[in-house]
Amino acid sequence: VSLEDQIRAMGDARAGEVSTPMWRDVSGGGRGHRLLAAAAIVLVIVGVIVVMSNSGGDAPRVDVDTADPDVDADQTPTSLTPTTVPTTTGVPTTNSAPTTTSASPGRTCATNPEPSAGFLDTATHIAFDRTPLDLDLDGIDDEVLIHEADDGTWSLIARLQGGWTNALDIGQPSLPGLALTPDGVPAGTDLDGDGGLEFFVTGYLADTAQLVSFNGCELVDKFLFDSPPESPGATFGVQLGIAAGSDLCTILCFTRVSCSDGVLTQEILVTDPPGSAPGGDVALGRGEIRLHEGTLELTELLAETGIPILDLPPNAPSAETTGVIDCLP
Amino acid sequence: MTSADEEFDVFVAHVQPQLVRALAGRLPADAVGDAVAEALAYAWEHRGRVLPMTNPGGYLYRVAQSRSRRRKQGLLPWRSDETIPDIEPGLPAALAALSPKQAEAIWLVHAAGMTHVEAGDAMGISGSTVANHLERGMARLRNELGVDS
Repeated sequence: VSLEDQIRAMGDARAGEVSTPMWRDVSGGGRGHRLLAAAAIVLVIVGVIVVMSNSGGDAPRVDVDTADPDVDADQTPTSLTPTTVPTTTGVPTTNSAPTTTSASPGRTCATNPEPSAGFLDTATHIAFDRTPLDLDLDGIDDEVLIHEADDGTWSLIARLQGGWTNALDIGQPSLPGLALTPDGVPAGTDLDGDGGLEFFVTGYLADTAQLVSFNGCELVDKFLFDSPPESPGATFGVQLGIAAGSDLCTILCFTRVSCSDGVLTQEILVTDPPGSAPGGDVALGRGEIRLHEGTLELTELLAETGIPILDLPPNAPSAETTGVIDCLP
Repeated sequence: MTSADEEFDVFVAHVQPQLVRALAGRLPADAVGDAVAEALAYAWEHRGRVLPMTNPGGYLYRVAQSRSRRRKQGLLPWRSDETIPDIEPGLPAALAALSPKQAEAIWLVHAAGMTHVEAGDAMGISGSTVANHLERGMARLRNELGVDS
């Protein structure tokens, strides 16, 4: 008997011990029927009440308990429910985490008809960048502009369909290369699970990254993230936003690229939780996460610390894959 | 029963056996059922996206592992009371001694019957990398057990 056949026999033996439930018992296939039945019962009862109330004031009162004992609370759809997870970030920031109240999907924002004076006067400013990003979730790309003034100060401003946000002064450049390469782009994701976007910027060749809270239609706050001690001089950093109820729960990943003996090595380092997920790189934008090899390790790394797992499809044949961030319950 | 139910029945019949075998190498028997249930529930909830996939089994294998919230620990150790006729006595231990990637590749391909590409999807690596793990792992097994085939 070949080794392959022996291993197959081991698989047979292990699978033979498993008792699998019918999918309808667990998948919600029966849930819909139960919910329909519950709804029908409620409708009938309500109908009876309406008929009785219309038929005169002497009808006996009927107390209706619409709670269906067969419909558990945990059977409600979970995909739309923000996840509650540990909220400690462990990521050094310059500010305490704010309570963000991001824009609702498709929100009409009160914006300025004109951008901050002189902001777009590129003749007097030395750096200018723009990146498409649907900040107000109306399905139309907005623009985030990163601007470096002559005096060395940096600002962010967003152009929505209704106008411009106020510029947010982000001070002296702490993000070298921020506006100079496509790798320094802003990216957005729903950090707090409220349906709106927060966005953040990272810098190419940067040791720090900034998270900018997009509150309603304003650029309201910023955080500085330092590169992890184990990754001095990280070459590229992104934050992965995890829904955490009303609190932010953010991890920061850095990818380090090195070359030794002609072999290019990429390494993902995660500040929170600590540890590393070797191999691959991560890019994040518009609420989506794209991962190459290393996906599984990163996913498991998050799982071990109780952080919700990202909804990641398997790698496409091209080894690049895109998945919308979807925190699991 | 709706057509969606029927379609999902067919999908489950196709995917579940391989999913069970794949997970049985990593999870205790009583946990495999739960993990499969979680994965199928996820598949039902996201059936518009999952069913058309070229390799939904590999994807659900990862979903099941993620939802089982278990630390990555390689193959499940073989119990002393698990005796299988016609296998080398040292095979379970030799499998467990392989690198996690090698052991997982071998289990998914030979015990669960996945193709290299399917196993690659399940592991988050390419099919050619699976082939490398498989070749090296099997060579180590043969060397360890002193067998030729």
